[in-house]
Amino acid sequence: MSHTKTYEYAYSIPGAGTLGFWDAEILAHEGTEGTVTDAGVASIEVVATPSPTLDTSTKSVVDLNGGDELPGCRNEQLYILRLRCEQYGIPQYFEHHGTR
Amino acid sequence: MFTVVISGNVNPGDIIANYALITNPDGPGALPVAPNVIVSPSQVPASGNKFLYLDTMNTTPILTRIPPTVNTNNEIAGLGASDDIDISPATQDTLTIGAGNIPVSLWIGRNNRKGDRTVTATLLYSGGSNGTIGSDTQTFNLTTDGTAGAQLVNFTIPLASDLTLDPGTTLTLQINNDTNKANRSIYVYSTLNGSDSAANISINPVINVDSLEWYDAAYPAGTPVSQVLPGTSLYLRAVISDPFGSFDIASAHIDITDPDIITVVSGVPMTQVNDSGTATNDYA
Repeated sequence: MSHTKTYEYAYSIPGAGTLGFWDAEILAHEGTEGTVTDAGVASIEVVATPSPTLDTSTKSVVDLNGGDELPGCRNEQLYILRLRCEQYGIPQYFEHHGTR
Repeated sequence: MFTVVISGNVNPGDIIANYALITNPDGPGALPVAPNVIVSPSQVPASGNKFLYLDTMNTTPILTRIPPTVNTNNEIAGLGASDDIDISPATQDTLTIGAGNIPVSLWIGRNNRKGDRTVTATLLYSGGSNGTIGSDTQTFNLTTDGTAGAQLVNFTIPLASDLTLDPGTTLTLQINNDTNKANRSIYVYSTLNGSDSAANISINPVINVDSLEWYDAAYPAGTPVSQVLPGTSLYLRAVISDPFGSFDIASAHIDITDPDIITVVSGVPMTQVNDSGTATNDYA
């Protein structure tokens, strides 16, 4: 059956838009008489842009050949570099294997 | 947590800010703020009256939601002759006709013998649902022929209880010229003197906003979103229905209010991006 129409309206929340709930209200008009309408509402929450942070609080160099206690390694020695990144309070870990 | 009781004296779309000023005599106070409350429209589908106009009376008489732009007429002979005027297109979705009196106003004139005319107006339905709504008979005197002597005759068709019609139902206005004498034809006019021949029927729903949502991309792409960052481009998308057909949906306007209850968009027309059906073409 053929009884619906879809309408759209493009809107950009300003870059400095107020945080909180933005509310939209639609008024749908029927016929030619202009006497009957129906309404609908919808809300959307605008939240603060999180500050991207990179936390390198944990960093280690492992000497796989052993013996060296210095935080470095010699030529031709393997090393593993572990990185701990934190964004929005959620840590992620990365590990890199290489040869110096 | 604090609880707010909203007054019953609010209107759909009203926005209510919620905050509490807390005074602590022994320490710092506070001003907790809750999200705004927007008063939703009733979820009960909107009801209202739909006029069904008579048009193209000189060719194929129809009942239509579009008012006639020019007057046309159709002759119905006497002695019980009748004319069936069908709505076009048939209903497109389930609807309910509200109980009560259904006013039907018809411009009726004559083109031959003057004198009384007896006319019966009957509302019927067929197709998806079948039956008779009711009828009314009026007798009136026509002294002058043509449009000059035409009268706006008011019929009242009673409906005892709500009547629900399935999709695909054709409403029919049957006009019988029951004048019991020969050469007593009538003319039914579509519009005269600034008013139209029409039936005025209480319908539920009369139009309905089925959905309104924020999307992250333009139609037909995107998905609904409920939380965004400042600077985000959004698309408000609404689906609106009408049981008589999409052609009877005229327009949609939008208001947008920010969290400070400042209206940033007011009464702006939305863009139609889809029409579900071909019923529109019947009135193109």
